[in-house]
Amino acid sequence: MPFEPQVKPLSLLRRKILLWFLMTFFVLALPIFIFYATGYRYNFWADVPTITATGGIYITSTLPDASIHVNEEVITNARTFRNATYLQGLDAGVHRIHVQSPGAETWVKELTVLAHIVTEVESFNMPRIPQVRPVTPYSNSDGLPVVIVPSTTTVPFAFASSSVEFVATTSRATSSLSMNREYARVAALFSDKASTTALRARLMAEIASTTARFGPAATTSTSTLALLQSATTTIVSDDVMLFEAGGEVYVKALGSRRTVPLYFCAVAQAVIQQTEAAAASKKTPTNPTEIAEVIEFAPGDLERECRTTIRIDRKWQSVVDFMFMPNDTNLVLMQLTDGLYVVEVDDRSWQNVQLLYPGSNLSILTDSGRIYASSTEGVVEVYTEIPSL
Amino acid sequence: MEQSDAHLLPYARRPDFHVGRATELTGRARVWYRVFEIIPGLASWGTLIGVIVLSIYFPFFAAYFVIGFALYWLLKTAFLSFHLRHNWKRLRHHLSLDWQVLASRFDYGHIHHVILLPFYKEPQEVIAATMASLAAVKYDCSRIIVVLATEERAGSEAQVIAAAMKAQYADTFGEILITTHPAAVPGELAGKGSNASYAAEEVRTKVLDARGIRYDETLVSIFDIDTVLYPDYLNCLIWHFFTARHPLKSSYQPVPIFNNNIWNAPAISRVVAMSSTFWEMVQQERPERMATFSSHSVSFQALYEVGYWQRNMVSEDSRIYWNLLLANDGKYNVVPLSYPVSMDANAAPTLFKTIGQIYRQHRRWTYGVENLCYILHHFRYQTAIPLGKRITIALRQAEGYWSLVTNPIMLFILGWTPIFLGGQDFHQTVLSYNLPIIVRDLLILAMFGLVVSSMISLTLLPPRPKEAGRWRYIVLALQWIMVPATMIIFSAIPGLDAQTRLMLGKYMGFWVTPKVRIKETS
Repeated sequence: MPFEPQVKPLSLLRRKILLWFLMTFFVLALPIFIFYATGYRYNFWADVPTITATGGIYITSTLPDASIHVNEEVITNARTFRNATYLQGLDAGVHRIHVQSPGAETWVKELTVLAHIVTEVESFNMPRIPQVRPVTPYSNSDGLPVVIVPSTTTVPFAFASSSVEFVATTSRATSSLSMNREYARVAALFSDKASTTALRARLMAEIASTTARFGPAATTSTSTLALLQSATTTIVSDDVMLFEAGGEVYVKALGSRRTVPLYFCAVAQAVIQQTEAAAASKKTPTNPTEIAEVIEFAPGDLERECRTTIRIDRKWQSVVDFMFMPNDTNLVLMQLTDGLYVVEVDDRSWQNVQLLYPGSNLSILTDSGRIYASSTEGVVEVYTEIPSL
Repeated sequence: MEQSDAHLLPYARRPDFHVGRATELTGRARVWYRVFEIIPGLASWGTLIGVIVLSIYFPFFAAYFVIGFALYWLLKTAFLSFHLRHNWKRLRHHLSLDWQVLASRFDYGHIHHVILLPFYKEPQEVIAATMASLAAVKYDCSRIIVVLATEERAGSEAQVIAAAMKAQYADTFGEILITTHPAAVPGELAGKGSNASYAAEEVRTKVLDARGIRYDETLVSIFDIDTVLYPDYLNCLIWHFFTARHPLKSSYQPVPIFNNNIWNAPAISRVVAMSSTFWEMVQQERPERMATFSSHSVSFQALYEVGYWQRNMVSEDSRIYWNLLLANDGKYNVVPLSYPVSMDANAAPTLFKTIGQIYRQHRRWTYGVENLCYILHHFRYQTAIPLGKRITIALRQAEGYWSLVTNPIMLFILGWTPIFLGGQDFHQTVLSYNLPIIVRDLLILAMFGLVVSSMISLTLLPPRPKEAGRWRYIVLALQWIMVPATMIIFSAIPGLDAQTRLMLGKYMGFWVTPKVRIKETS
C-alpha cells in the first residue's frame, strides 16, 4: 500500500487555469447576453450575416389553443405565458399578426414594431357559432331548462350552440316545473333596463324637440336634465369612460399618461414613417458585421402622441346599446341593428369587430361578469368562449 | 490563570491582540474599529438598497447589472461545483484508506492528543455517543487525554454527566479531566471560547506539565460535544501533521458532516446542514482561503503561544486562526484533512422550533463577520505580513461576507426589481421583457449544480436505519429544490441580521445550539 493518498488536492495551477477561463468567458459572454437581451440579433442564415436591432410583440389571448401567425407564418418558438405570448426577434417595420383558433373568429392586426421596443396588444376570438346557455323561467325535475316554443317545428336557438341540454315544449303547464331563480333575477334586470331605456328615449325626444341635437340644451328643464343624468349612457370603469355622442360611441381615457392604455399613445406618425422607410430600404451590408440600417430610438426619445378619445367602429350601423365587456375595458359590447358585437378599442391599423350573438330586437345586459341577451326566443347567457367539454 | 505573557509570541503580547469589539479599545483605535464594524452591514444594505434605487432611476443599468450578476453566479456555481466534486472524490478516497498504515511510517508514539469537549447542558446521550466514538478510534487510547469542559452555570447536571463519563471510560483513555469553567468572569463572554480556554489552561497545568508532556508533541482537537469521530480520524491527523510543511504552524481542518441524526432531521435541516458541509468541502480545495471552523485540531504549542481561544467573542473557532496568523507574522496556514467528522443536524421537537434554531445557529455562524473587523484592525499594525497578502486576505474576507448576504437576495428577489420599478419607458422595451427570461434561464442552468449536490449528498449518507423506508432516498434527492429558499432564509437573512447588529453596536452573545436526538417515528 502506498504511504500517501492517491487522490491529490487540486493543484493551484489547475484552479487558476479554470478561474481565468471562466473570467474570460464572462468578459466575452456578458456583452453578447446584453446585446441579445436588448434585441440585437445576428442573422447567421442571411447571405451576408448581419446584426439587426429587433423588437417584439406581446400578445395576450384568452384562448389556450390559439395559434399565432406573423406575416402568415405560424410562430412556434414564442415564449408563452399563462394567457400571453411574447414574440421577439422581429425586424423593425410593419407586421401582420393574426391569431386563430378552431371554431373561433380570427383576429387580425397590422402593427408597427420598433427596434428594442415591445408592442403590446390584446387579441380576442369570439366563437363563430354563438355559444349560449338558455336561462328559462322553469326547469324540469331533472334540472334541465324548459323552453316553451310556439310549435313543435320550432327549434329554439337554432343558430347557436347550447352549452347545456334543454327541453323544448309547447305545453304551457308549469305546475310540475320548478321556477328558476336566475331567470327571475335576470328578468327583473331586463325590466329595470327597459324602463331606464324608455325614460332615456322619452327624454331624448323631449330634448330633441327643443334642440335638435343630442345632448342637453340650455333651454332644457333642470328636472329633465337630472332625469337624463340618472338614465345616462356613460359608463366609467377603471379610469376609462364609454359614452355616446352624435350617434357615435367613444372610449375616453381618464387616467394619467402613465396609466392610460398604450394604444392611446401611438408613436408619432413621423417616427412610424421613418421606421417603415428604413425597413423598406434596408441596404444589404457588404461588411458582415455592419448593422442593418434601421431607426433605433432610446425609449425616452420616442415621440409619443397621446389621444384621450377613440371612436368605436359601428360598422355603419345604428348603435342600439353598448357597454364594456365584463372585466375588460379594452373590449366593447356593441348592440347594432343585426346583433351583438364585440369591438376592440385598440384602433391601431383597424378595430377588429366580431359577431357574438346575432339578432334584431335584442336586449342585452351584463351582470356579475355574465352577458345576457333577451329576444323573442327567450333569455340566454352568451359565452365569449367555446365551453370545454 | 497564567499571569506572565512570556510564552506568548511577540505580536500576541499586544493589549489589543484579543480585542472582541470596539468598546474594548480607546482613542482612535476604537473609532477605527467601530468603522470596521459598520462597514460590512453598510456595504450589504447599500448594495441591496442600491439595486432598488438603481432600478427606479436607472433601470437599464440595473437590468445590465442583473444579467451580469446572473451570469457571474452561473460561472461561480460551476467553479465551486468543480471544487466540490474533486473534494468529494478525495473524501471518499480518504475514507477508503487505512490511515494507520499510512501513518505507520512515522514515529508518532510520543505524540499526545488532547480531545477538548466543551459542553453546556447537552443531554447525556449526546455526550455518550461522542465518547463512544472516541473510544472506538483506531489509535492507542492511552495517548489520548479527554477533557470534559463543563460550565459552572450549567449546574450540577453537567457535573453528574461528566462524572458518569469519566467513570465509564476511566480505563480507556490516558486521562479524563473534568474542568468547570467559572461563571461570570469579568471580561469574558459566556460561551465555547472562554470555556475551552479555561480547559486548555487546566490541562496544561494539571496534565501536560504534571506529566512532562511537551507542548510541541501535543495535538489539541476541539470538538463540539456532538462530534462523532470516524475511526481513523486521529491517524489521518497524525499523517497530515507529519507531512505538513510547518506542522506547528498549521491548523488541521476536517470536513463537518451532519450525519448523526440525518435520517431523523427534517428536510429543511438536512438541506441546510449539507450545504454547510459542501461549502467546507469546497474550501478544502482552496486551502489558502481557509480559516478554521467548528471542530478542528491544532498543536498545543501554537495555542499556548497566542493565549488559547478568545474568551470575549462569539466565533472563537475561526478567530483562533486569525490570532495564529497574526501572531506568526502571516506564516500560518490551515491543512485540509478531507476527512469527515460527524455532527448533529439542527433538529428540535417541532418543525417551527427547528427553523428557529437553524436561523439562530446560522446567525451565530455569520456573526463571524466580526473577524473581518479584527483582521482590518490588526492589518494596520501587523506590517510583518506583506502588504499584498494583507490586502488579498482582507478583500477575500470582505467579499465573502458581502456575497453571503447579498447574492441570494439579489439573485432570487431583486433581479426582478427593474421590471416592477423601472417605469413605463423601461417596461415597454425588449430588455424589460427579456430580463426575467434570461435571468431565469441562467439560474436554471446554475441549479443543475443542485443535481450534483443531490447525488453527492446521497453518497455521504450513513446507512439507512431499518425503520426508514427506501422511499426516503427519493425525498433526500428531491429536497435540494429548497436550496433557493434556504439560501435566503438561512444564509442571507441571518447574515444580514448579524451584520446589522454589528453595525448598530448590538453585539451578539454566544447562543448554544440545543442538541437533541429525536427518535424515528414510523
